[in-house]
Amino acid sequence: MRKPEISPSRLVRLLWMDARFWTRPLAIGGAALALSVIVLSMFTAFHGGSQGLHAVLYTILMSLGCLVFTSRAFLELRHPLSTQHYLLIPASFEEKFLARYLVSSVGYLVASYLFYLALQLVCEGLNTLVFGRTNALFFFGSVFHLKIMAVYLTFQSLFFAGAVYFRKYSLIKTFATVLGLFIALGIFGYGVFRLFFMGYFDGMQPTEAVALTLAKMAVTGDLFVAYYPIRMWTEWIAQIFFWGLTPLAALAFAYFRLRETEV
Amino acid sequence: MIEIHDVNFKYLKKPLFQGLDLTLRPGNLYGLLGKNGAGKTTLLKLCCGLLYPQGGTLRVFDRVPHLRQPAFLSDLFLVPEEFSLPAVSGALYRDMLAPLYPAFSRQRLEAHLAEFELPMPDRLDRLSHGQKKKFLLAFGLSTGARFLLLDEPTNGLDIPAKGQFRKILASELDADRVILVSTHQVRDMEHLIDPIVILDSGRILFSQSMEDFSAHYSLLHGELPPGARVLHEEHVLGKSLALVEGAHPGALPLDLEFLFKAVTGRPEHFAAAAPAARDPKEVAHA
Repeated sequence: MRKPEISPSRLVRLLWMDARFWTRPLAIGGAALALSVIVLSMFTAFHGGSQGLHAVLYTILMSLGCLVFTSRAFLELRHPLSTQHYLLIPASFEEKFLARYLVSSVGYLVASYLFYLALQLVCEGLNTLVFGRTNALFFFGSVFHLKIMAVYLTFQSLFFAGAVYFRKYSLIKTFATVLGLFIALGIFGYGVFRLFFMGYFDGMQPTEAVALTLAKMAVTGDLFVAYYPIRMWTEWIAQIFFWGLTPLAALAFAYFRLRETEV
Repeated sequence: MIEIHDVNFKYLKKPLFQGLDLTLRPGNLYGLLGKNGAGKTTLLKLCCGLLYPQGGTLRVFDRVPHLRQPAFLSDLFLVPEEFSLPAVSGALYRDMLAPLYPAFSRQRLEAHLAEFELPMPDRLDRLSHGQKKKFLLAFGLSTGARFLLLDEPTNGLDIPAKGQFRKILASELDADRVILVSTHQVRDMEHLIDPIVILDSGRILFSQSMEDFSAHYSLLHGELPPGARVLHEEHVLGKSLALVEGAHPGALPLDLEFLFKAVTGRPEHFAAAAPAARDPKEVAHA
């Protein structure tokens, strides 16, 4: 059994290496994006300005951009020649895994926000000069924003696992797999529910007696009282599943998959 | 020391190595020869942990390769036959990777690049295959790694570069290092690789130093001594060129291509007679 090895100096070096390898493609993508945002913000300012333009654009950049970036996090593993170069870099699995995860999750979020902050300032500076009016700026700072980022990071962990597992078209394949899993889980849950309440259904519909009782309870308000414990349990299970099991399982899967990679 | 003991490996259901045994000692520049598909590249990959053996033990300087521990990886460098280099400058590549090799020498890299007449590249991915190979060989030899694995190192090198490579490689061998060169280009590496390991269909057919081999076999051209036991014979310029048992006066220097044909032609004879390569310290002492 091998002990995990993490050396801070090697981890910092790997982070630096990853950041340097990604500088060029991100700079090209960022320049194209900046041009589009400038044009769009000028167009909106010309038509009177918008309160939510930058919030919407940043959300797209953060969510879609990061998923694309995450799906390409292990680009080396797509080809045996680059895979062997990556696997032989003198660092442990833990360091390689952690470096890629930090760059593609927190690293991307921080970098994309700083980039967008600068970009929107440039956009609105130009709008003030040209049209004398601006779109509302977007600043990150509320608990709601933090919650969105946390939700996002959970989804990101799935795409991170997909990046290690699928050697080609990992974005599309991960998306299809996640969708498939959710559909399968829904069908399974529905099946369990129907088995549990077998006598209360007539085909796809509840029996007449059940429907009448539920309707009466809804009118009197008893339904919400009876439903409350179920709702609480469901919420707890859903939260444990979403915040705990999903990212942990995805990251553990990605780690072990990386460790077992051969050329 | 690299110890391969009873190693089994198969690709899907096709077995390649079954009970493979081989010991590589420091201070030697081993030549790994074999036909296509004999398992040379697979053996290199097993030695550096890119593939996992399915049975037996494999230890490189007392470490298990497939665990890919940083200390192991920083003491090993593989120059594959085919490889890709990232879209960065040579200087950046060096600055990024060199600190991960504790024994890396910047001076050695510069000297090797100068020997190859290759200036520090601006973009590695834009170099020709031969130039990429020169850069990777120069970098690998500068890492100070004790175990160097070179897969067809002279493929893609121009004629002057082959000579430069031989010169650099000879200068890099020291008592602590094991250099394993897998090659088909035996003419490029002749007089440099010794001992020779010949692999065929996943078996080690031959593993001997040239000195040991020459003490027991002779390559003779022309009239053969009466009663000589011929192991392999070809006709060159109307005369017989034969590998015979025993040390005979007037024997020619051993030709690797001829040796390879002789060994693969009579594997049972050489497999039975193959002692392991000698410890260079023992050789020096003797």
